[in-house]
Amino acid sequence: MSAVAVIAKTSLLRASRRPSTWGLAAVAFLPAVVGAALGASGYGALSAAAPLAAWVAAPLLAVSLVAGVVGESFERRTMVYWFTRPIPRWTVIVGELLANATLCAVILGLAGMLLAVAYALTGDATVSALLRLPLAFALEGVGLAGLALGVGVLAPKHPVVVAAAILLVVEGALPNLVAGFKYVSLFAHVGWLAGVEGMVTEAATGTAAAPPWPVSLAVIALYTAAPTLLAARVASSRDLA
Amino acid sequence: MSGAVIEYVGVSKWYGPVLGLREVNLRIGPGITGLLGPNGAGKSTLLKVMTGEIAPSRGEVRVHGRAVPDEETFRQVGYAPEIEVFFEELTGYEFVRALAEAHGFPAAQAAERARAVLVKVGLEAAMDRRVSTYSKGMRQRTKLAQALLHDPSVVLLDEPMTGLDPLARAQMVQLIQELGAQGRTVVVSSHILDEVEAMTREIVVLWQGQLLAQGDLHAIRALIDRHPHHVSIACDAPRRLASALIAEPSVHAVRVREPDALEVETHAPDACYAAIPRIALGLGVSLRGITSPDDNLAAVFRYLTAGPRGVHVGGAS
Repeated sequence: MSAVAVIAKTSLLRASRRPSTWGLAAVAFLPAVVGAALGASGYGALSAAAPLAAWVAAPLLAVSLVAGVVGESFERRTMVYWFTRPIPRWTVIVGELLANATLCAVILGLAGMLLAVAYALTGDATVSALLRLPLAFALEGVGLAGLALGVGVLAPKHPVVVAAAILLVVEGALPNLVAGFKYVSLFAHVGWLAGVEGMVTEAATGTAAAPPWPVSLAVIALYTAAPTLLAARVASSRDLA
Repeated sequence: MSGAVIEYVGVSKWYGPVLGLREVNLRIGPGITGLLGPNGAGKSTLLKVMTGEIAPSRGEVRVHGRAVPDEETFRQVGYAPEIEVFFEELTGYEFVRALAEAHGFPAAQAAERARAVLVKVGLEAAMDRRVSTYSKGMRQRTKLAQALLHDPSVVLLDEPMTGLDPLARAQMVQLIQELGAQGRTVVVSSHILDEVEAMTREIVVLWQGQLLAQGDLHAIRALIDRHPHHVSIACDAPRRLASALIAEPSVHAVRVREPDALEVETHAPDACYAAIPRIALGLGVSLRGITSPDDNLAAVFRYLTAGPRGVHVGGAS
């Protein structure tokens, strides 16, 4: 088994045994419950629940689960156990990304699936919506895992605060201040991929048209890869303590 | 020293404005070497520089002639850091096996090695328990196990005795001595002289990031014993005891410091320690405690630093 796979497998095993993982997963599933309740009341299952899932529950999951844990492993120096093996340090970072992206994608994909089910039971969901919601949420999990991992490595002392601040600026403030920023916003692309109009704030952009889906995939890939590459580069040269 | 396995060549390390190591030139050969120094002397920094955990600000470290950090070096080096934390969610066995797999061993071989090394360090009964439930002693053993899993020729142990009870301490000493007897190069850091003395005679003394002395521990001990020791005595009649002690040949000076305490200065601590209870018993003075502020390394090192730096004794260089 390659070092990357060993590290990913170990990281997943550790995450599965943390009570916080299950607690955060439960929080990620809450929007589906909210969606079902709203749908049953005639307000539409997705109107409030989809933004709640994509903008609140998903970042909360990724930031707490990934940035916090990765940051702690640098702060408490447990990374030394990997770093003193005959493997390059970047393999450790890639292994961690693989594990965390999988974890976030699975949890958020399931959350998206539950939301789609709530939508189907209480509204007039199409087959396309049922497929697109979980897929878009899973991809959001991958993107957020990359960002959170990068922040965990680069700012291990206060990873949660830094990641939250970055998300507030990049996803909250900038797309609403400058129209062009919507096209580099992870949340916007997740909204377009999911096909949920309410998830794209059109007030700021006016006529922000959905780009072709490969563009959205490329932005999500960039969201994942750029922080990871930077983290791998920094981890390879930085003192551990 | 010929055949040095580990070489430090002009190694300095600064943490911002704080000096971690200053121009350390050091050669360490096979066998056990004790790395001594008070807290903050630079012992951990010296080991971290060798494992590539931190990069030296200046100079170079070589292991078997290869400059570190080098991935191949980690096939030869086993390192037990001073941290007390692991992957707490895993069992001891899972933890060591994962590291063995990361080391490149196939799954079956990694599992076999993990079990064998955990048995070797005496964790056979606890290896399937979560690390989070381990005592300090078990954690020290787990650290040793992960350092030895790949059968390294160089073993670096940072404060391996911390938190161990006397029995576990004796077992750890025995394990370390076995490693040395197998021809490995073992570097053990400690701030307790007696701990190191139980393992080896070859020591390296660090003080404020500088190499203060290297060589035979007994020679350095003799040097230490020549400096005046201070002994504090808590008793119910310090003046009476002081009058009697001043007549003792081993006692250089006596000061009554408090109504119930006195301080003795001696150049022969062993004789002095023997004389105090004998004289107190003869006088009917009740002793409540005998302590020596000099028994910590910091005091000893302050004395050593008064002499020439970079002392080499007992034939080592």
